[in-house]
Amino acid sequence: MSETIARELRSVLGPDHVLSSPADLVTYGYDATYVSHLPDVVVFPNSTEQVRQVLAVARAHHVPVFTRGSGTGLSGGSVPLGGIALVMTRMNRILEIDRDNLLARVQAGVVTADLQEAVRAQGLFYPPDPGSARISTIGGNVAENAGGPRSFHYGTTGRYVLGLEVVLADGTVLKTGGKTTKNVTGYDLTSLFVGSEGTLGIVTEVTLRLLPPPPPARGTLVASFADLAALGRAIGALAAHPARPTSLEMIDRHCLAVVDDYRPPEIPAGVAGALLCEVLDWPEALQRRLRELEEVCREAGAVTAAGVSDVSAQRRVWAMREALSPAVARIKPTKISEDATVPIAAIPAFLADLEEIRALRRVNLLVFGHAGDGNLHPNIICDERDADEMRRVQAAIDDIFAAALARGGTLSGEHGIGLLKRRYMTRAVPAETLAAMRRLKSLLDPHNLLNPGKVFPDEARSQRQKGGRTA
Amino acid sequence: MSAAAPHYGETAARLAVAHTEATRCIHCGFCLPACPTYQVLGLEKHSPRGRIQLVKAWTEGRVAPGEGVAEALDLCLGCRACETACPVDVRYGLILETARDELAHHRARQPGQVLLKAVLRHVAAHPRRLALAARLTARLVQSAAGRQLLRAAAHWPDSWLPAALTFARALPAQSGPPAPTSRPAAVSGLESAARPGEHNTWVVKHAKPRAALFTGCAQAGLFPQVNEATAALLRAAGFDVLVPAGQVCCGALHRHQGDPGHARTLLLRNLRAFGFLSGEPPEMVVFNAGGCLAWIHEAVGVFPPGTPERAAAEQLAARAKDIAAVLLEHGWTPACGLQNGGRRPLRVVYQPSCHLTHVCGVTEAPLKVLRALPGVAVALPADGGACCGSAGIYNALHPQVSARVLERKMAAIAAGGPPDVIVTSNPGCHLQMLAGVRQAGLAGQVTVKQLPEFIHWYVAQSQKTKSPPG
Repeated sequence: MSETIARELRSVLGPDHVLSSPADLVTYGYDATYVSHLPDVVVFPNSTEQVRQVLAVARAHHVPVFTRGSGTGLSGGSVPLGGIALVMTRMNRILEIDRDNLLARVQAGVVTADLQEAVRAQGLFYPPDPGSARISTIGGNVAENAGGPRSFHYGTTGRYVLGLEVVLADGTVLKTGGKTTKNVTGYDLTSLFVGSEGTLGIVTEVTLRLLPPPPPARGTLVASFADLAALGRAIGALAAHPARPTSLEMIDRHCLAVVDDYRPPEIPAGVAGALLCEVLDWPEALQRRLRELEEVCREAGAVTAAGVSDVSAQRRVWAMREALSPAVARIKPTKISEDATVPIAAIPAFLADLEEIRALRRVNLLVFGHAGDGNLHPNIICDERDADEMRRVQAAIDDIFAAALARGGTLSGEHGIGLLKRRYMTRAVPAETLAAMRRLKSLLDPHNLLNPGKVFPDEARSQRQKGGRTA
Repeated sequence: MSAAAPHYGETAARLAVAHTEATRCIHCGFCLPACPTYQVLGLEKHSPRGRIQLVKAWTEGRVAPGEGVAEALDLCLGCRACETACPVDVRYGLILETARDELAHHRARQPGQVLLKAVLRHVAAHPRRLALAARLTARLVQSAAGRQLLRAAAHWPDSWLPAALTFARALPAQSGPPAPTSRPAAVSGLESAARPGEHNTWVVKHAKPRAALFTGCAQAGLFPQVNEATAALLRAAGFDVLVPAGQVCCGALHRHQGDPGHARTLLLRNLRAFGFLSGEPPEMVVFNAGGCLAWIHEAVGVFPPGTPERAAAEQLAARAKDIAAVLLEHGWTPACGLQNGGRRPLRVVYQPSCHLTHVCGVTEAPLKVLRALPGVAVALPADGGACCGSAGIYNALHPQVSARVLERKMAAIAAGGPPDVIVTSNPGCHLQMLAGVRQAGLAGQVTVKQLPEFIHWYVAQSQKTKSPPG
């Protein structure tokens, strides 16, 4: 990149907010996946106007812009491929919490947990709970339509976005949506930008719907199963039951083996898998609902089903879940977290597919995830330095997506396509639909300046991905 | 990217252990909210994730120290809060210290590094010299010339000097080890004529459990009253207290500043002084400084496995305990069982030593012993006890960043209104809190004490007045 561009960016943002030292390029080249590429320059705008000005420089010099929040994405969506890494973390102001209208207006760089905390202090609730909520930004959550365990009951980020301020590639500042929960006034452009992974515009401000807090009593349902068919039946039955839990998480036998030291008494040894559900209710209703849900699991063929309301017993159960990540990391250094999602009735068949893939490709494949949404997280534990293993891992990933699609599912439930899954897009999306997506992209970003090389397969820069360095 | 430095292969070999550990990082970013420097500087290279990736890139020859890596490593506080936050248990401390050793190796001939090493070896590790240096510095900054210097420094707001002076002004003017005549309160065995391994004669021996007191360098030099209070509390809890002569600085500062050789020398001297290499080692070595205890726990690796020194270091590590944990474990109860008499409780904020929390895992015991005092309301700072910015000698080396970390810290401490007392568990934190209290304009309103000192004072006061002080 020429010094001219850096100079122009510095004159827009000030010298402290345009960085290009090798250390800065390295540290803004990654997200939470195993891919990384160096940007040419890293910029930190502080206002919508500054974002516009950065885009003006980018347009003038035909330099691509890669928008990034905290870099916790799991699909390479924010990984720069050269060009300008546009980091939104300075735009972290909560502009308004409107208690009367149950909404909040925030800049895109606000950390999710900071918003959750601020609205909690006002007696309100922002439900989306991505695993990285303490780090991730609202802008990133919108760009990838982030979910989380409670999405089963509350839905993903997109369900809470009422309106957006978006800077388009040509510098136009769009305001979409509004302050109302119902809004059928022209096309729903808000939804268009949700999950668009920074390819259609740069989200600078978000108006979010808030809820009253959930009922205060918390219980945990733990059920274990001798076979995957029974586990699948229970997922369907729990999802369809009027007493359905707030979250519906599963953990397979390979995960259970890894955290056997933490296995709570509610889960016997040697089962095929277990369900862990959070149940939020009023204190007087909690026991009844837990009994109800136990019964649902037993009818589906559960080996054990226990509704736990004791605080320390619940802590034991969730401690096992929390122990999973470190325990898994001790096996091998590289963890590839996939996000394949299937219709919930297909879960047992898909789990069986995953067992087959594990054996066929000889990979350490563990499955846990948001079963209630069909959003399983097949995780492959491997070592990126082992070329032979990585070839088998890549083959296994191909198999996983083929299986998910064959079962009527999709590539991503909550991580997005980013860099890592774009090569599967032609298989996942009908050609006409993909063509329509491309037309939309070229309409809003005709010069392909915004996050090029993402989401769509075989774009000009796709070769760089192959030749790029992995970190 | 940059050309690899000459002799790069040697660097890569020395960094191999850091590189292996760095590959375990899944760059999830869970460490970012736990990192004080990321919170104040807002840049990825000043986060644990960023530093880990930089060390990895350095080892792989993709970036050179002078291209921002050294700055990123220098500005790390080393508080290790990231290790507690890490979901996959990456040993950040190992990566940081391996990389810092390598940086020190590269800088070995730079005048700054030579001076730092000399100061750490010949001043900081010696309580009397440290106390003298602190007294001289305090006198200088409070003298007419010092005030002039301060006024002049205000013209260079971004430079090291004015920031460093704000910390220097917090140095206690009256400090230093007590005169030998004041025994048995005097617990500095350093100047004793007793040979290593021998114990001071004033200890009355009978059938009580024995606890040896580790007196440290900064603690003995700047806050001798903390060692006295620790000994008094141990005696009140039923211990025979030994203060082995010949004990020296633990070496943590040297270890963290890239001088592991000297840290090893000091450890060896302490192993001898405490009788772990020959003679009869004490059942327990009690520490009142989190930084020292943490290093003693981690130091075993400086000796190869299978050597007598390694076995001795392991034995010392196993017997090294924090004062609060010892009091709690031995059922100590404060000798002031009086009710509060309707007065408002004394508001105490406990600002823990980072290494006590994140390396030693001692989090509950200090709170429990403080809460055992009647008439005291104990809280953690609103940030849960993140690093105060002291970080060994970080506030002297990087006073500007340290001041920003401290500013956030003081806001977190005063979030629920300024407390009456800030209690810490390390001499460095103690100094930093003194500076913080000044910086926040709370001088005269908020007292700073270390945990044993506070408890000892509180119990003594309540015995005198027959009711809790406050």
